Amino acid sequence: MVSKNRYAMVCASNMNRSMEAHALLKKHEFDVGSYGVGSHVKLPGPNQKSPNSYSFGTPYKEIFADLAKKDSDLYTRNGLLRMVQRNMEVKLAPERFQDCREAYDIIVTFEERVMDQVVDDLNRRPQQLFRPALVVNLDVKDSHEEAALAAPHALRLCTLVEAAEEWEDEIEAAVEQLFLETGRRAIYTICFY
Amino acid sequence: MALDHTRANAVQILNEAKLCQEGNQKVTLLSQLSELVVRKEPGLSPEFIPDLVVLQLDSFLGVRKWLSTFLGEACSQCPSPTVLELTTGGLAGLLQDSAPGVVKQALFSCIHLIRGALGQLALNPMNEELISLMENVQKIASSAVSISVTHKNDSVKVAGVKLRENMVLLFTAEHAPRLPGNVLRSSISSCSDVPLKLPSAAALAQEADAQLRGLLDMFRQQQQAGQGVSSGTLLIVLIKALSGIGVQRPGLLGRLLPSLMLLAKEGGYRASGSEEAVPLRGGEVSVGNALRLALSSIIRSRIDTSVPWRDRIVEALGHIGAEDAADSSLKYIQRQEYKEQKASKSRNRQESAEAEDQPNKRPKVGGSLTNGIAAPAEAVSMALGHATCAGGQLTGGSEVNTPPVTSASDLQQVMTLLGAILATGDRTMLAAFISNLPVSALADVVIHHMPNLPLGPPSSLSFMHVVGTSATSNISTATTSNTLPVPQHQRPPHAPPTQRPVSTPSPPPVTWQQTQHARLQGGYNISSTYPPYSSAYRQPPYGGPPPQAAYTQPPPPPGPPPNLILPPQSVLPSQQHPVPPVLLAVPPASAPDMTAQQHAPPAYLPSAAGLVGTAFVTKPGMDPGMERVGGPNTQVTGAGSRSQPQGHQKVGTSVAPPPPAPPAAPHVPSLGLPVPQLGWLSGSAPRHLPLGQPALPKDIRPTAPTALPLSATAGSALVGSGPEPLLLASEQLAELRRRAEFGELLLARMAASDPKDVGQLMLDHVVKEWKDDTGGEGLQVAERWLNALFVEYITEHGQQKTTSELPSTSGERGLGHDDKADKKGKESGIKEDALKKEVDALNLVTNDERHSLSTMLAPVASTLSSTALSETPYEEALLLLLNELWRLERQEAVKLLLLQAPCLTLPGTVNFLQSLIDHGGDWASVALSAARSLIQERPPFRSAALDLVLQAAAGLVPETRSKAVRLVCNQLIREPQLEAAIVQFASAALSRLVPKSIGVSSNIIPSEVPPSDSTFSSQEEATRFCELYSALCVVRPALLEGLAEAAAHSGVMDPAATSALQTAAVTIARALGVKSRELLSLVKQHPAGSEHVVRTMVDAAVNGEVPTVELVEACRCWYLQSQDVKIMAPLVVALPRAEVLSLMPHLLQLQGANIRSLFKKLATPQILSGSTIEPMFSPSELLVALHCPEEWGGLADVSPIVLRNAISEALHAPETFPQQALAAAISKMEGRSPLPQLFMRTVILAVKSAPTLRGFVSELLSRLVSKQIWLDKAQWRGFLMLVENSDRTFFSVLLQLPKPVLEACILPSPTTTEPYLQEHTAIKLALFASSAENPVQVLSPIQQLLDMVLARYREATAAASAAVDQAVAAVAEEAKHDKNGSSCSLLESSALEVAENLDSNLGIGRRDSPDETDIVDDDLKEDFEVEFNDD
Repeated sequence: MVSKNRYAMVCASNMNRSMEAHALLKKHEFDVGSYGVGSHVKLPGPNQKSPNSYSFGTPYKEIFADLAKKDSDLYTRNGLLRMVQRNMEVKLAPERFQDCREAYDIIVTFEERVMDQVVDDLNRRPQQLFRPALVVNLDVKDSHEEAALAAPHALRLCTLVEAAEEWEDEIEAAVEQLFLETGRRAIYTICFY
Repeated sequence: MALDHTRANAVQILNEAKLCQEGNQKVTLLSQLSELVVRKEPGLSPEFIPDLVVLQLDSFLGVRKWLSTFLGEACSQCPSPTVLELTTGGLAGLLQDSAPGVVKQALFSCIHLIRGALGQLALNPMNEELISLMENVQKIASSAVSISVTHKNDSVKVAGVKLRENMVLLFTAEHAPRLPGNVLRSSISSCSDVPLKLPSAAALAQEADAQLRGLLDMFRQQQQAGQGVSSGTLLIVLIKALSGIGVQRPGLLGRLLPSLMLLAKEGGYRASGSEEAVPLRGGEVSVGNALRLALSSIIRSRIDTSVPWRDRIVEALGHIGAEDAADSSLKYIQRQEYKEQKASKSRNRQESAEAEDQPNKRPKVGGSLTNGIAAPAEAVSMALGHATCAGGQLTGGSEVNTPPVTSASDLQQVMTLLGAILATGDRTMLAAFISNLPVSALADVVIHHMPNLPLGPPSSLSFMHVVGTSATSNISTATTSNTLPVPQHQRPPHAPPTQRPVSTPSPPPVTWQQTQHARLQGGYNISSTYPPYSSAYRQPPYGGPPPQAAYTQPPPPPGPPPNLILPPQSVLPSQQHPVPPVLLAVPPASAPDMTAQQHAPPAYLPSAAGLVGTAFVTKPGMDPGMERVGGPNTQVTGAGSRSQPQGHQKVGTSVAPPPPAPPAAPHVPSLGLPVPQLGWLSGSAPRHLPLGQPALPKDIRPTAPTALPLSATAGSALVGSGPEPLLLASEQLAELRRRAEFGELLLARMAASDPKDVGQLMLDHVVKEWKDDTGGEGLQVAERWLNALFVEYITEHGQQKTTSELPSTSGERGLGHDDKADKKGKESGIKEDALKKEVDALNLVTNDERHSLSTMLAPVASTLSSTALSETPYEEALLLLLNELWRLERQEAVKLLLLQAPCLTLPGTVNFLQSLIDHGGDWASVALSAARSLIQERPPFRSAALDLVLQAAAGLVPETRSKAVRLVCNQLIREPQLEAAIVQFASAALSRLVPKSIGVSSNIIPSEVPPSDSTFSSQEEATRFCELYSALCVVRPALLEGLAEAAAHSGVMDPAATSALQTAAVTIARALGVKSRELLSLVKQHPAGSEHVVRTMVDAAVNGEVPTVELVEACRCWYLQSQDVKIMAPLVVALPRAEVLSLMPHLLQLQGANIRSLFKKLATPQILSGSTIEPMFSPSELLVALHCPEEWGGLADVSPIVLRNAISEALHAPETFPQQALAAAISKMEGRSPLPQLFMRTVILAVKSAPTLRGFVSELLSRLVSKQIWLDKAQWRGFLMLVENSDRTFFSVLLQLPKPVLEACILPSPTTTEPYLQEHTAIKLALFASSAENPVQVLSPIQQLLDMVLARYREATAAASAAVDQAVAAVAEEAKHDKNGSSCSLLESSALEVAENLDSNLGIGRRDSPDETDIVDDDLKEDFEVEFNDD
């Protein structure tokens, strides 16, 4: 299946929530990318005050090696290594949404703050293509479990949108349908490239 | 070659696409084609579009969609007339398509089409074909809009809204859109970067107005449709479109905002984050969020037109529950303004420093400073960013089309080149160079030469011409006055009066620029004054008289004159190459060989014409005086300089001899530059317009940009500010200023004697001339005025009063000046001297003398009672000034005036300051800052000002209160004279927290609250009474005792007061740190009843710090005396492990946050004093220890309930006990025999708190089955409970049980006492065993058991169904005989009763009573149910 829309999954660090959804949508043959919006990729460290921080663009492979070198046991226990390993199978490196110049039809965010940053970035860009982009937010806590729960919801939403001939006509119904099915309320807005 | 290759490829692909029958493949091929002919070689587009347009009849939807997109891209990348024409036809067909996707893309492509057509027409406005094309494009656009409005699909409507939004923005821009693409760039060469004027702006504005109205109508329709009916998607796009237009076109904001605010108020939408948004649907919250973003962006844009609306926008945000967005937007504005002020001050300081370093260096571009006096801010702004100013404020801030400001380096380069060309004297080269300059750069060059412009018009205006009239002697009044914009008060009083025309000029023709100007000033509401579109396109673009019928004369603009005064033709250097003569005056720094003259006075050079043949300015080392051409009686024209009365001087002749030294009379020299440049600078007439000729030469008419990128108002401001630098640059300036100051002095005296009539005049003058940083002339004049009033008062009344009051107040001139009291007292006769000198000072005009006057009056002022001047003209004037400056939001000015005024009056000034404090925000800061200065500088005011500050420190507004507290604690408390009063006030305020019957009441604290019984509505209210005291505790730790004394009454305090005290204690402890002696002292000895506050302080102090040995010892003593283990909990990190274990039974009795904090300290690394301390236990160790108290000797001392509660808290603290720790602890306990009593309970809660542990637990259960867990009754009950409440997760484990055990579980006998499964779980298990989900192979004995369960279930169901049927039948039968008509209700109730009994019958008598001795029973069940039901 070749999806007629292009999808972007966006979270803070392009590590957990967006990649979980990216992996799932990719598995279902959606044309999908994933991004983060933070200034750096931040991962939990040995304690709250010393997180692991990487620049966007650092390959997942390098992140994996670095984490394994620092404390293999700890990062195995907290699931970080498995998560990064999963990411390695999806794409090369975390990407930053603000640096991306590809145009997407549907942008799914997983936190309202992230949605605000995405919308702000799109509004700042000069409009040249006049191509609409739907930005939808699903509030998801940044944990392995919640990300795993939310990814199927994102897939469901994208499936509903994909089924519509023009998403503008169906997005309201799709959001409502998603709420009825999963109890997850999606909020959306429309931007233009 | 490459082009041919690309063409060949494209042809091949096109042929393949035409032959292709499969839709998707066809689209793929066409995408490749567009890559080639649009992106790679846009020039090929015209060749292929005719072949591609026919694809609009293709049956495959994707192809038609592709075509819609392709046409838009072609217009965007290659907007040649041919492409635009072909696209117009193609889109006309696609707009009629039945598929909404195709129409949607066609609508978006229309935007590209309009941009392209507009850009092309701007390049060649007179081209008939382009005019026709534009007309067609507009027709298509109108048609597209109509289609979108009536279309049933939201996607099309959304695209229509976007099209309309872009039409409004494009048609109201100041300039035409820039066109990308190779074709275009090659055709217009160097002019491609120059913004072009919008062609036929009037007609376009009319169209924009119509589209805007359409958008608003659509918005209102959506709004009126109400919630649930209107499309959220469309509404969101409409909101974004309206706010986008409002921000980019500030002139239209007033039309758009009311609609948005009305929707916010009455639409019922809420933004996310609001509590009221919780029950709303996602679509509704999305609309609320769009409103929030739109309104916030309008506030944040800081456009002038949004300022009056700001409060209402904030209110509207409140309606949608977005108060936080409003707050953050307002804070954003404040931050931006602060940054700008800071940058401005920094820039000023830098310029001042540079000026000091290079005192003789001439000012830079814009000539803002000369002789140390600042030019008007408008002039500086104009010089630095005139284009931005014009675009941003007048035309709606079209960022894209705003003319760029030439960078400093580029401008310097241009100036250097100009100087070099001038040095060569090559007139042709100069003309060619200038004609190739971008207009924006040319404007900056002119601005650079502004100091060289003449002060006024030449004395003889007989050489002037009026553009558009042939009579050179007809000079309109407006023209003359506007080209001589020297403000009346700046003119030398004896300067020759402005020559004004006698005859009335004929009405000026409406020029192109006038039309534009009127459009700008009219806020785009010009539809009624502009002609229809078709006729407007055929008007002449520049200057020429338009068709009279097509135009209505707009009102005369307030700015520049419509007419242009230029020198006569005969004196112009060349009509073919109109070189602005102003450029011929070289600034000293720009000419390469002028370095030797940099320190000379401003030099003015002859025109290029004058240079030819003379090489006048090229001689190095020439006497600077020689450069001054055009003395008082000469005028330099474009053809050279000449003595005015003697008529013209031939081009190329030698220059007139240098003028004599300026005469004593301040006649402003006319320095040789004709006035007309001011005229075209103002944008009132085109630069290249030859004099007196109705038509322009064809070769220069449309191809080059002909209008300066200055808007009308910006030009006007430039003209208005232009002469000032000239004034200041004049050598006669000193004399002029002396006389001006003399005039101001006289004005001050007049205002003092007749404040009613002249006061307002003075006020206006002061405000106008006020400079925020230094006060400038405004402050000087205000001082003069107040001095005059002050002296007048003293003369009339002051002598007796001051004499009598001198002993009591003398000597108080600032803190630390008390030692001078005696000296000043001895100088009691100073008043008379001061009066005498002040009278004399009225004749003094220099700054030094004026300062000495102020200094002289200061002691007199300080000796006056502050109330003496109440209700006098002096106070009236002072308050008038202060209030006016306040009204104009001149904060620095208010502060400056308060400090510089000769005397302040007590009630009036205090009331004024109190008003500022009550106003809050920045004004409160100003008032507090002023109060601080008054405390330090004006002793009579010290008490009142301190009282103001202290009252504010206990005020109602948190922000102001915080500022006042900081002021007191950081500065005022350091003054020994003030400390006692401050502490007294703070103590009195603190005592308000204590009920009146106990505490000490005081009258010196704010009187409005608190109530007599010291009850508070909130913690915030209580905080205001202890905030100052707690802050003082940090700088004066000895005051801690007072706080503890107050806390000792916390038992009878209002809870809000107690909470406020606790918060204050935490803040103090963190600030004091763990090593504070006062804290240690408090721990050792504290008033009874204050323990909780002291404990809180210890806890806060040791947070992140290693406790000192003394503190630990003191706490240990406390514990031993009181057995209060809470004091030891914060210190566990510093205690030995053995001591901690011995304390553990008591520590585990802590609850809630306290015990979680304890666990965190025990089981996680602590960073204390910058180093990491390893934890005493690992999380899993601690968990195991909690389950096995016998291992650390706590079994006897800890009750099971305490342990259970502690474990529950641990399992709810994932930050300390992550799921890995849970798993590790469970694994460790699994190996123990017997299992810990609370083992299964912990497993159940672990699964709840960490669902990902289910796999782990499943394996654990399997192992427990192999260990015959059913033998341990308590654990077995927990096992079944876990299985029962985890849906089917662990059913596979049950299927591994031996048959007897499983049978006892699922088919218990009525008398069994063993744990068993509920019947519905048993049924589920039976169904699960036979489903595909079951991964375990079921053995046949087990299967038989499960079949029995199912059979029993079916029997029960059948019996129940029969019972229901029977009951229903019975009821129905009974209803037949019921004559009262109540059968329905009876029937319903009976059926319900039977149905309810059905479920209960299935499990009657199946569960025995729980074992009372079993610890995993009721509590666990309760926990279990609560937690899983929550899930």
